[in-house]
Amino acid sequence: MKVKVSLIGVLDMLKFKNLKKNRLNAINNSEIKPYREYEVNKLADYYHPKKQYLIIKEIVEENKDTKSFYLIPDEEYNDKLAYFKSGSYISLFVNVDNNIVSRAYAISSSPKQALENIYRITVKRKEDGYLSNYLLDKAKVGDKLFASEPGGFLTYSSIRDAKNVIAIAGGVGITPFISMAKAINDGIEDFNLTIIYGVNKVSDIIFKNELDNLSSNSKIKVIYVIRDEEVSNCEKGLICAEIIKKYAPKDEKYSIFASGPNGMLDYLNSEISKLNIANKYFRIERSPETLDLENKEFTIKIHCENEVFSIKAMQNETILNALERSNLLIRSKCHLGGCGYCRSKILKGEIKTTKLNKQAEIDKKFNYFHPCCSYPVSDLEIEVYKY
Amino acid sequence: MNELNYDAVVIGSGNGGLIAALRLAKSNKKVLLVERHILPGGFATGFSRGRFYFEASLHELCDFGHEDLHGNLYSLFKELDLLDKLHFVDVPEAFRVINAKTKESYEMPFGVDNFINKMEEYVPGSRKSVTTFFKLGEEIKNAMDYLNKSHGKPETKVLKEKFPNFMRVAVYSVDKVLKAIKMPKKAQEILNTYWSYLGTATDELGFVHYCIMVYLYITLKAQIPVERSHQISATIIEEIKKCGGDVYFGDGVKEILLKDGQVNGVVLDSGKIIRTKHIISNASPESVYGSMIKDKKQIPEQQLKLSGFRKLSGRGFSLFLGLNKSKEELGLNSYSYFIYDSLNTREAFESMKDLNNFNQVTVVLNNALSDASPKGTTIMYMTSLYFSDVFDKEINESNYFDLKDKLAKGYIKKFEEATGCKIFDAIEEIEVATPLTYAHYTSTPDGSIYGYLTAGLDNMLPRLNTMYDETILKGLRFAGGHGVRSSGYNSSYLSGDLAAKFTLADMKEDK
Repeated sequence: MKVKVSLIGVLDMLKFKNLKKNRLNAINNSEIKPYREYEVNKLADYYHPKKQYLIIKEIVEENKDTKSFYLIPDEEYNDKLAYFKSGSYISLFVNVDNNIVSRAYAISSSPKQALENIYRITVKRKEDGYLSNYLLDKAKVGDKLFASEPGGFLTYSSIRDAKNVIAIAGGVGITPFISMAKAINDGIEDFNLTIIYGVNKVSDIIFKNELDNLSSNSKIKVIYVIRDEEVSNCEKGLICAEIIKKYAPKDEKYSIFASGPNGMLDYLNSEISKLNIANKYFRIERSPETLDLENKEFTIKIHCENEVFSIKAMQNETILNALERSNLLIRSKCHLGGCGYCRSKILKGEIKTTKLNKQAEIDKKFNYFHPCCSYPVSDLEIEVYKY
Repeated sequence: MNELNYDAVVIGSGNGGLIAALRLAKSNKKVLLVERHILPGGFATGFSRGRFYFEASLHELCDFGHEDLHGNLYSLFKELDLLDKLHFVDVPEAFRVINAKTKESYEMPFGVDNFINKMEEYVPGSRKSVTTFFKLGEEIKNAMDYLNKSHGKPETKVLKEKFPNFMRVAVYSVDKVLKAIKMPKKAQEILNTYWSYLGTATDELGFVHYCIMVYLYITLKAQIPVERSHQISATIIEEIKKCGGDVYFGDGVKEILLKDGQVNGVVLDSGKIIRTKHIISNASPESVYGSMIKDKKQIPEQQLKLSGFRKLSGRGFSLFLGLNKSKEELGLNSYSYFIYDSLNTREAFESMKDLNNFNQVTVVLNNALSDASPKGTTIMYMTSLYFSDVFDKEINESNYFDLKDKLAKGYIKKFEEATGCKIFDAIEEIEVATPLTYAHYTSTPDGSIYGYLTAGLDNMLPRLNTMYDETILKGLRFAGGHGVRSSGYNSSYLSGDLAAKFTLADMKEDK
């Protein structure tokens, strides 16, 4: 076989021999173009900031144990908040008695307000809730804190979801949905939203005025379901299949989004199974689960880059809590074991994880774990990575 | 101040960085691998959505094969003791290509004889030229192996005697050589389907590069990791540590320290200073020269001139779909669908400068890995490239999510029209990765996922030919998609090994 491209093959060979010389000449004859920062990379930093430094601008009491916090950028570090998809949450990192403590909170304001540099988060008191109690009792206007980028999966997709969304909220689980309602009202999202909002008593309802105002938009409907009281124009009892059916469209497809306390979501799960809707039309955002373990103390030996040190940890707190209590800041976001941000590695010892933990098989094999949803059940040696 | 000493620091744990760090660690060098993200692998990683586990990029290994018939990547993995820790499976066919405009469609098998026979069926009279193509492929593979072994000093006599055809085709583009061997035009179009794996239209793409890739795919088939890309990346991390290497996740290199025009250390995001004389960067030259090195005067002029000499290649776009029906229910019979507006690669390339072109390579993962997702469901990946900096022109501070949805709908519609398979209503999970996503996770310039455009004198062969003679910043080597071998899983793995070998040689010179 003899392949030639030009008529005289020898010339082709000569060209091959000159390839090196020609390339070097071409490089040397090129102009130096200054390296620039690409717009796409800048936008990536805007939409996905590693940290957002914030200041509490205003605190509003929604009811006796719920407050909203209006957050603005701390201009010493950043002058813009990341835009977000309504229904998203941020992980908030707050300095409590000289330790940084983190929790995830849904953003309860409209994405439009992010463009005006405001996020609102809304916090309800939880019994033994370390950060919620701190925020409700001690946090004040002017306090500095920081947050992760916005994220989460309880957001509307015009590809995946039905055009009609039934949003089921329990208590403070209303927060992602009020953001969605505002986004619809602001023309940012386009779908029909029916919020079924369950509370124990009428006085537990938050955002009543805002929701009533939003209901004047033909795409938004709000139904209150009061567990313990009989109130006109409201449903009584728990949010069950019958109530959902009553307010769901009869001849059109609908998606169900749900957010609230885990107990309510468990009940809802069984109710929704009666509705016979496909998996894809049901999205749920759970709260962090706790494991009921003994109050026992363990030692965790920690490797972080070239540093090694030990901390004390209680069996009945997550390892992330123990790390934060010892002033060791690692990256974290969802606090459910799903986002992977706190991925760390066990070198020795045993842990227990909640059932929400999600990991690639190979990561389990190599003993990676998520401190946010793991509890120590022996002394441990672990490797963690800095935030 | 906290100062640490290492023989070498590897910046970034993409495929190139991973192999570079492992090779150095196995050579008893004290190595530190620094990765800003929380996961290793760069694009070779994965993520969960609902009940689906997706991978961030297409991951067909080229140049791999099996024990009885294998390529250089297989040998490399074997040498680095990785083979027995990983599991691979062949993908079922080479490709299906569909012209979106005319709906003509061709499905090509693996195996040289099968391929030639199938092509003859589609294009009668193509047998002779397609046979010549594969013979050239074999000669080029052997010639490249010889060139690699000759460390930049091949003997002309050996080349002339053993690889005369290689030498005569070496400087030409794909189109020139296929024309010279008189391949019928339709056969050229079908044969050129894989062009988008290299990201250059065939009138500029070096024949040698393309021919060897097709030859390797068709002879060795393509393999994918059973436990997915993250398995390879996570396994290499374990091996680096076993060999005494250190790995820092969640920390990056913010500055490279130089002294007298040589590498003298790095400063990490965490503020730590690491002293080292050697760096292998999986981060792009754009990041290294643009932001990590403060004193530009210490960068050799020739390195700076490369900025005007080369162009970025494709910016990435991917769609990850979890479908709530089986591939049989959806009629998805092929593993890979290459859907182009034109089978003329120049026309397709030019159309891919536009945001709304929707040319795509789509993979139905379950056709290679039947249990890649829960029973009765299917995973699909759609991948495309933009060959211009069009993305930042379309996006502003608030339209990104809408733009993602709009583009995703375009790709899905195009797929449905080209194949007749209706998938839209079965979408249970969807995620969209744009140039912005790739820039976010890997800092790649402009969201490019293919490194530099392999065209003209910046094709792979001239790069490899010249790599011993270019003036580098002393102590600094590049690996990964922006390195000499250009992008792709096998290229980036092999580039890591190459960079490590250069660094080992540099270390000898130190003494």
